[in-house]
Amino acid sequence: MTDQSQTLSAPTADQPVKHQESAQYVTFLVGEKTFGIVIVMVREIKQWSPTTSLPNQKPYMRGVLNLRGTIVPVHDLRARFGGPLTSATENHVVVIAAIKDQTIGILVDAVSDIVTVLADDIRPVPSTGGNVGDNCISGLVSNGDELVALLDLESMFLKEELTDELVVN
Amino acid sequence: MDDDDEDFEALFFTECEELLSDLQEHLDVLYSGNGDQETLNAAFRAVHSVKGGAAAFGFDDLISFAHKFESVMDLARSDELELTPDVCQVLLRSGDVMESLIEKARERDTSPSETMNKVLAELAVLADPNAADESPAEEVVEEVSATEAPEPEVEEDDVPALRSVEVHFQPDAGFFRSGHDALKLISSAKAMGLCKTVVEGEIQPLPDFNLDDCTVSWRLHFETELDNAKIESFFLAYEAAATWDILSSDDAEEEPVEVAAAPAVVEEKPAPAAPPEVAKPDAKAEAPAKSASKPSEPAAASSKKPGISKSLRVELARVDRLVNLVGEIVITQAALAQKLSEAGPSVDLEVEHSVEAMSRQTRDLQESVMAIRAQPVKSVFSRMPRVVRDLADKLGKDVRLELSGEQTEVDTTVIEELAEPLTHMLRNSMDHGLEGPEERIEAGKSGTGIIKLAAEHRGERVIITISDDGRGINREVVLRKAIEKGLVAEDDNLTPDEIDQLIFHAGFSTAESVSSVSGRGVGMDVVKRKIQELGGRCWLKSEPGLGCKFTIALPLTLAVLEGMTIAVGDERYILPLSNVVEALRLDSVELHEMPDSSKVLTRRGEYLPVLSIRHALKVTGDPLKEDLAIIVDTESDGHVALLIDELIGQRQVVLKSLEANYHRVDGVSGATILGDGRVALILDIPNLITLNNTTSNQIAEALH
Repeated sequence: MTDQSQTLSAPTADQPVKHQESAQYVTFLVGEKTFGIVIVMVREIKQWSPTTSLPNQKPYMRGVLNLRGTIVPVHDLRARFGGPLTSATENHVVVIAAIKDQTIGILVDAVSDIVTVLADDIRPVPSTGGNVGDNCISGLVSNGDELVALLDLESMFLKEELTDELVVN
Repeated sequence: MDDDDEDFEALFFTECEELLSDLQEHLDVLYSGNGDQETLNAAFRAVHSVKGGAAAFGFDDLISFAHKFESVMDLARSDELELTPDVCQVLLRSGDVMESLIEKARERDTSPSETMNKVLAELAVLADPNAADESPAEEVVEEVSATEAPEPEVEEDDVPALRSVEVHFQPDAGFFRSGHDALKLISSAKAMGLCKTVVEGEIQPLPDFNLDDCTVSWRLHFETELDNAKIESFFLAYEAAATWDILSSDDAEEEPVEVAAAPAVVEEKPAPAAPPEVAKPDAKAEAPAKSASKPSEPAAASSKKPGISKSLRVELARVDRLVNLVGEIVITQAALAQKLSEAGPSVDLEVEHSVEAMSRQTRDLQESVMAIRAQPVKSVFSRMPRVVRDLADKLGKDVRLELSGEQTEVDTTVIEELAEPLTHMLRNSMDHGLEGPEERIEAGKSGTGIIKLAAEHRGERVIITISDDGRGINREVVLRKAIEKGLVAEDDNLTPDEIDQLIFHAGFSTAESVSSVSGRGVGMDVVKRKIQELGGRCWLKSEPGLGCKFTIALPLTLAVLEGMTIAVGDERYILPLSNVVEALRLDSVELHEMPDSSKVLTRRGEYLPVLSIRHALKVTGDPLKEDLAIIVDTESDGHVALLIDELIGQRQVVLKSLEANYHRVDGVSGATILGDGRVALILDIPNLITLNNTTSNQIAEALH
């Protein structure tokens, strides 16, 4: 993971923090695909360690892990979007994110970058019909030659009514 | 109202709860006829303290009621009123009214209460024989007040315009000792139009400072539309601890003089009066130096309660944080010990000793921290007499509730959850168990039914029993209802005991008529579920005609659990030790396959259903071994044998919630963290078995 943040599209002079116009995203890789989570929701990034599976867990659940005494469920992002379960190794990472008052972990292949995204550069997700991930992606943004899918964690994991405070229109 | 006031108010309500439970206790003792003068005094003090606090916050209903209540008790104190059981009943009911008034004050509900008026009338009757209504209380005080001021001259002024009133307020010697706070008085007087406060007299230099000797007095200047009587009533709360004098009304001339004499409008000056607050905890230490206090002064006595232990009020959240942290330390310590044992004999012996010592200390630490949260069950038991009295009235039954073992200590988490099931069970006993007075007398019992509520420690559990001397369970009716509802078949040949346990079945109610009390069919099954959720068990024993006894066994805490660690495949699980009956090697017992491919195990001539945890939880890894069986006791299905791969050991585990970040998982009651830092699930065995039954049924259905 690189320290410096690079600005996409039109560069801005001042560092934008939780601003309507722009937001910082942590991007990470799952296979060839790149996903982004708004940085304020990311608590920490952890090396993969074996989890404890739960009875009758959903196919994309990887069970729970111990995060300094708190039990945190871990979701496999690859499986969440219809892929096979990730065969996790020590090189895989778990992104720990806070959604409202819940803490969850997301298993991904690698964390790649922190980018600043301008609200105007976010494109809506074209309706492709029947895609599993449709309502979990709040928008698309291009970063050089790769396309970053911005995740809407709330509708993804909390299954509650969609609040638009996190969705940068 | 600012934050400080709100804090004080919260404190006041907490204190009220304690005072009322004290009051209840003392009144119960009086009612049982074992009380003496000291018990009565203690009850009086409790009411008086509530009144004092209420005055600071301006809860008028509460103040006036407490005042009447006090007056009647005072009659009894001066032997002008005999404490017959009937009188005690009224006092008990007054206690209930106080409680409801406090609740109303908390919710800022000012609606009038019918019960209050009824009880007020009863109190008035008690006070009446002396034809002096409420005055006796004042008289007593007045007699002992050394610096008694002349009767306040009341200048009635009906014009609702603002009037200037000046009050001279002189605290008596016992003012601070009895817990009054001049600062509080002044801040609440502001609501009445207090606009200026002048301190008279000198505050003693600190070395000479004597709490019992208040050398200052206050001139309180009001600009108010209230008449003197209202102001008078405001100060009434301090009648036992101070003298006051309404000096002047509408004396406009004096005002400028006052300003000139004491230009400082002494708002902050009462601060020196703060020592009472600080001094309160030190009261014991200072007591010997105390100058002679008037023996019969009621309020002054309240802080001199003998044998009161020093205590500290701490927010529960803080203790919880501590409990969690200690939980972490226990886990880390276990991890360290495990690493050490893995390292083998190469480890320095001294290191090993240190780790051992640390293990002992962490255990002690954990116990001590848990002890902070432990509370006597009294806090919930003391609410029950009220429930019983309310209900006894409604049902027209004569009931006496006998409490015992109130000092038994249980973790706060458990205490909070106890009130509901206990109330439910008491209602049940009163509604279904106890007969009406006539029926009881016919049956040769005393007209008054007795319900005993008791608590005791037994090992790592607390046992709570509720027994009544009523008619017991009518097995015929229960069985008939159960058959009607299709819960059992007619030819099931249940034992009497099995029939009794049917009342714990969901949707079962034997009430012939549905009453407002119980009988909506949400009775004992709810109780049982609640108790099970708390990790406890409940059962009952009934003797027809003689009564019925419910027993609840609860863990002492919900934060740690005595568990057995087992291994199935790659996974580790914790079985609550309370469920475990025994462990068996499978080569020593016989396993039979049933026609439907389910298995049973023979143990001492008994056939037990067998459940493979690997199968039930779909555990992967390691080839199937399953050569151990743990026999567990379940509420619903009796003894069941669980097949496991390995038994790792028994240890105390810290309960962690899965729900905090995830949601409830079937078959699992929670999780814990093992020595190696991994998460292990705590199995909810009854739930697991039900779950397994439904799955296998579904499979069976799918097959056919």
